Amino acid sequence: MNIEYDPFAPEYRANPYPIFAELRRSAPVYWAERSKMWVISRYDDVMAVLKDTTRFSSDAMATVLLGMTPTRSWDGSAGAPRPSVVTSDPPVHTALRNVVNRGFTPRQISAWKPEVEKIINDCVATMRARKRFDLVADLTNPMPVMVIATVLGVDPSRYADFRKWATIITLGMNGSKRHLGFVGSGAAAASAEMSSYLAEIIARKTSSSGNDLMSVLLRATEGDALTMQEAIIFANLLLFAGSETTTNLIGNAVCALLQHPDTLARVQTNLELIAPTIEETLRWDPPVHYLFRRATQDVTVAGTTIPQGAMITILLASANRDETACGDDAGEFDIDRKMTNPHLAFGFGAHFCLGASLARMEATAALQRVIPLLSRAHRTTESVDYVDSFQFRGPAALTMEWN
Amino acid sequence: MAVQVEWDSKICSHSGNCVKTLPQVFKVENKRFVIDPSAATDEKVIAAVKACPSGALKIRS
Repeated sequence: MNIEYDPFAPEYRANPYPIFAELRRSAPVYWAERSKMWVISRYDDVMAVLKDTTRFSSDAMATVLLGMTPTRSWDGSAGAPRPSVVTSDPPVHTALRNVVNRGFTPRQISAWKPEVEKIINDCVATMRARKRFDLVADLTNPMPVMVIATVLGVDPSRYADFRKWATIITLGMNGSKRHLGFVGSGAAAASAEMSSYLAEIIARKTSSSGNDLMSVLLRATEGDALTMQEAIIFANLLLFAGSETTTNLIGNAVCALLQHPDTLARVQTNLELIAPTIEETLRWDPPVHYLFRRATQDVTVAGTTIPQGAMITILLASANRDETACGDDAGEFDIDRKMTNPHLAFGFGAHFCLGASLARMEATAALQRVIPLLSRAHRTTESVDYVDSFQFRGPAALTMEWN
Repeated sequence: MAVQVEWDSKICSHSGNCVKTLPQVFKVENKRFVIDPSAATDEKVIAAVKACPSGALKIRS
């Protein structure tokens, strides 16, 4: 069977799910000629890859997102790139993860909640002051960036710079500027500018007793706190991993509810249903559609042998709709769904999303304000344009007008 | 005797899966995470441990 799978085709971007179903059915391990990658689409296979950090290396994340290889850094300089928690494998990954994990405990995340709510209230106040607003540009896009700026301890006078850097870095890494690359898009320069500012913040810290994330990460606990360099790499990563992903999670939840008016009506009368709405959105239309791995040896998946060194795309969004793992009605959006297998929107295993609880908290706080608004405003167009990206999915804009 | 469960606080990502699926077994008491595997069948405890997304929960063999 000949399947045309091109992640950048406009019809695919509008709705990738039919081709995912086709891949699961006819070509569960598919060679994508254009991207030169193997594509894995079934739940059990995706899960097996996620759990096996020996045969499937995460260094592929750096190759795809930053153009790095094990011996060349993103700026073209020779030598092994510095490892980050996303691009490394155990045991290096385990050591980094153990430190950054301390910044994301439930206690830490609930301590940030008032800040998150204040940022959301400010965004909503701006929307109210206008006749027409864009839920993405005015709320879901700036909010997570501002949350990161706040938890990193960025000075309010530098918020505008921080947002500018965030936008450039995100566009350089999410694939929108794929013809330019990480350096050509200006993302590398923005990242360097941001890194030197973050170094200033860290240098100014006279004590690391604060509640902000930098203090938590730098605090010498059992003598294995992050070095300044590692803290800066992590802060860069946080911006990429924690901004557009959260933006898209909230946007996809709103889109799902607008497409399902009966569910929207139920959630509007009972905001407790926001939690299952977020979980079902994560399963049904997740903000990150796929991750990348590299085969460290010849490995056979679903009867197909992937050669050593080959790049692999694992389709989280397809796994989440696999009928064999998620039920015959996996294609339906159903907030009452009882899942026997976990959805894979945040991945699984060693690299399970560090910020999952933060994302859920931010999305909950945002939807608590947004869902009541949906009865007082209406969309200016029925259609939804999705962001042009390697791996992210979410509405590029959701323009609305007050009734 | 019920199965024994190990918890590695360093890799736990606090997704709350275990607390939500088997609250009688996995619970927070006096700000401490407590596991009582005898409060459910072995089968259910093993399923909850397998579903732990970070891998922080393990069955002690």
